[in-house]
Amino acid sequence: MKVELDCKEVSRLISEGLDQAMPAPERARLRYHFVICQTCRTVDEQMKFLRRAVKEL
Amino acid sequence: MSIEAELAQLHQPLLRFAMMQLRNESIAEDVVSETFLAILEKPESFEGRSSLRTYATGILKFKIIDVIRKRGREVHIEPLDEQSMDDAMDALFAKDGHWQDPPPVWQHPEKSLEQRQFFEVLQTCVDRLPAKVGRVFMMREWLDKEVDEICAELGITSSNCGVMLYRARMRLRDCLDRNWFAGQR
Repeated sequence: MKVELDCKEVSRLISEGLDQAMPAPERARLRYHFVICQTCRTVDEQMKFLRRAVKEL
Repeated sequence: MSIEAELAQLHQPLLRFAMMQLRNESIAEDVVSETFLAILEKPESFEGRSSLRTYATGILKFKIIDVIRKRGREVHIEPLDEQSMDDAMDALFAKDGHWQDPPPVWQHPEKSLEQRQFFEVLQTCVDRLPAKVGRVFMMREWLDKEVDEICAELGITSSNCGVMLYRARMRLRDCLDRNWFAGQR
């Protein structure tokens, strides 16, 4: 299994994580990517904010 | 303000949401009318429990779900054009899978939730989503339905549903970034 994810894979996993539980190994790889990538951490926060904002609509 | 006058003010926003979900003007009008009738038949059920808007929205959601359930497989969503979707997504990333233009940080996004204009921009962004994508997204995020339920009700696969949700979120993130947060940087 490839250990490092790229940002494109991570953006897809961020979305998937909003809809279903993620297997532990995949979640660990995602969290590792967040450690090394500020941009994807930002996108993760923005996706969560987006969910909150839509619920307020 | 009388309850009738308050409901009159709610007509447009509720109709717009019903239209997005049902894609049929006369059916959307029907569910909004039924919602208003349900409230007017038993106004004592509402009084003091919540705002009229919240109460009406809750009833409307159930009525929309009922319609979607009754239509069942009649509601047909065409498969995504995988190629054009992939092209749009690929444009966001370089060949190595990293961001082409890294998305900038949003400053204090929670403060936006206190501004009416923010919600007007967000609504416009949602309205701009392709019809089938917007519908799946709002069923998930606004009607709080699980992916399995959406798949069953719309007759699509879970992977197709996941792709549509991903696409909707990426588009909305980009739309809000360009049309709201960029102006605050």
